[in-house]
Amino acid sequence: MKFLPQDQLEAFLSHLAESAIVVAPQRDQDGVLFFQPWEAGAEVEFEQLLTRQSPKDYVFRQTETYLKFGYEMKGKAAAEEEEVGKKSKEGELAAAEEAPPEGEEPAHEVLQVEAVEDAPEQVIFGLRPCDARGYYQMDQVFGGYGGFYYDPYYMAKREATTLVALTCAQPWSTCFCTAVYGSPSGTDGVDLLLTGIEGGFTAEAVTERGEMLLGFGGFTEVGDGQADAAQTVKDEAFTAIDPPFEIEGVPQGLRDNFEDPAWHDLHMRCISCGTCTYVCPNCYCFNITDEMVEKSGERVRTWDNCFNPGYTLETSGHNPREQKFARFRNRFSHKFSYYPEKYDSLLCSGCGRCIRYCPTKIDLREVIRTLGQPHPDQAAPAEDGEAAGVHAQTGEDL
Amino acid sequence: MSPANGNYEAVEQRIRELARAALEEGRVDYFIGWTTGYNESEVIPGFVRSADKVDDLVWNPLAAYNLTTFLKRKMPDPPQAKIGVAVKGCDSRTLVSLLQENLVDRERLYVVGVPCEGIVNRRAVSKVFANEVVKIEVAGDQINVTNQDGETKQLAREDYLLDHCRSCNYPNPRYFDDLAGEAVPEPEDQTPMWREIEEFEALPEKEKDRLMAEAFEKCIRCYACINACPVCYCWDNCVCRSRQPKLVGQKVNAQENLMFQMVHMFHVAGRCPSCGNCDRACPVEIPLYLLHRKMNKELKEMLDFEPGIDLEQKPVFQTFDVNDPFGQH
Repeated sequence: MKFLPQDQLEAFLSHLAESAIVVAPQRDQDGVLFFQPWEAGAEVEFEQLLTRQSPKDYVFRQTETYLKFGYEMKGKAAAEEEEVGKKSKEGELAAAEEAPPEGEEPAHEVLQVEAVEDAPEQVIFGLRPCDARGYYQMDQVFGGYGGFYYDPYYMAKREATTLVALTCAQPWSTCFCTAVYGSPSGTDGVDLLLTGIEGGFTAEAVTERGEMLLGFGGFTEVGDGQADAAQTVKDEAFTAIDPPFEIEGVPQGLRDNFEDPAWHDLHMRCISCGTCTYVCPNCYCFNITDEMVEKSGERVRTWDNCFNPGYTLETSGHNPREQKFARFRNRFSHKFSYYPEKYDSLLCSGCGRCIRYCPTKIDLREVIRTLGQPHPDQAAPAEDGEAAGVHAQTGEDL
Repeated sequence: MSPANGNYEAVEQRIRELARAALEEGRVDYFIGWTTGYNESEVIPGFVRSADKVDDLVWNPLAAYNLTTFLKRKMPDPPQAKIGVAVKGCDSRTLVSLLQENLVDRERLYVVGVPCEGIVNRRAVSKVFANEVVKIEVAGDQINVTNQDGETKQLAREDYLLDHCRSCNYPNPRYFDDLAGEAVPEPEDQTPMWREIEEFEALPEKEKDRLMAEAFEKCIRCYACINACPVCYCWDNCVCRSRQPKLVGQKVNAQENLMFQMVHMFHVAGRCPSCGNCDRACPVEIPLYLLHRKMNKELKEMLDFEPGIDLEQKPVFQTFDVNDPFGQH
């Protein structure tokens, strides 16, 4: 463990910026805190606990361009190409029938494809342990866990990224990391963990990459009591969070309660937007489209979310999750039941952004408390005819 | 806007009584009002299905949410539900717009009107502390804000009202079945105020472009704005979300984001009274309601039309009148 005096913070950031892009929490023109590329002199804000969005965009980009494509004319001279373009269909056919002169190819289009490289060395500085844990979960999805798919786009960026996390000294009322196996000083995914104490930060390397960062000359050895002071900050933060639910049994509980009528109450104020998923450090769903003008364009991967009507829309036109309550149920069930089944961990790190920035403040904790525990009457198959009748979904509009 | 009479509790009690009666008499399947959120600084939409739960409902100047959003298609559960809903002045205007176009079934609605003296800008209030705000309380002309350390700051209510409340000419609901409390005085001078729009209009074009790019750069295309919008009703068939056909690009950048917002702005023109639900839903705080204010200014000046004022009024884009101010040009 080392110590970084407060007055060395900017020098440390500058040192990091010599060899990498440094991304740190900064306020925008409206006073909203975001992770943004840092430039010397810019003010970094650590006082506010959480940024509006997690920094996942820097590794799992909201718009990831896979490749650019287009067509290029080959064969005859440029002037003739233009002529071909202007000819009527009959003219083109006639031209095609003419044998090309010896040694010359007929005019034809050739597909041009250009790969896009986008994996700069970067340091994400001042993210919270819950944000870092988001990467840890996504690493499993994109990193080939259990023999599943390995995603080169995500992993190239992830491998070029160093995470310098900051212990949360004062959790918010919406924080619940300790309920989902996390901690305000957790180190999952973290390379270097800073903890704010009087006069600066203690710094603990978690990985070799983090160890290398401690080579910066501004660090001093920890002084008397500094390690204890850091431990006190961590302990106080940990106990400040009152776990809102018992996680044991939640994956099974959600499965048992799949048909529970309570879903129909809890989803009522959901407006089926994607805010919760786009501020979430863990959510990783995406779509792939070709964004084109005429015949050239880009193949892009953009974030998608389970509240999007097109998310489960099938080619036939059938949508298994046409109703809002089903989309709502999926989000929680995926995080706390389906994902754990496949990856043996949770897809939630307890940051609470989905509660705070939801337009109607839907409370994940309430959903898990209500539906995450095995129901006594859910052991038997659903036979609550009355409840099922009340909520019969006919698909008719009001 | 008149000074607060602070009689929130009486109105709150009345809302509860009206909701209780409607539920007990089976006139509604559920009642939508406002309730307290994850802490006492948040007031959120509250759905009550039984009379014994009506005391969860609250009324105070944090009740910003326009609940008529939950009446639009695909929202009610079950779809044929009879619904009770509480509306403020601006909320009632979106309801009137929906009713004018037969987009909600009047027979299945029970509307409780709530006279309103202005809603507090929670977003601005919550920024007076760097750490978490846990309680906001409005007492008369004063707002008391408390943070997680228990420190309290006192703010003048007048300084922290939502912008559109300052220029509101319709604090009393335009449509309701029962009114929860006494109507509040309406401003004598009904001349619309467009100060912030006129300021923007006066800027050089390049500066406008810069500000628009800056604002829409940070849009994350979560579509909270359009889904929170009571009068944006295409729901699952929005052209901006469609991939087949692809009408608005899926790339998230200032240009595409602005295109998406323009679609919303033009599509709700004539129904949108700029209630600000989109603005408050935006997780990244883009001042969206300014777009809709601008559209309302154009409608007023070109067609002498204000959305959602009168149930008998014809939707502006379904009429043609040679006497429109626009027709005079």
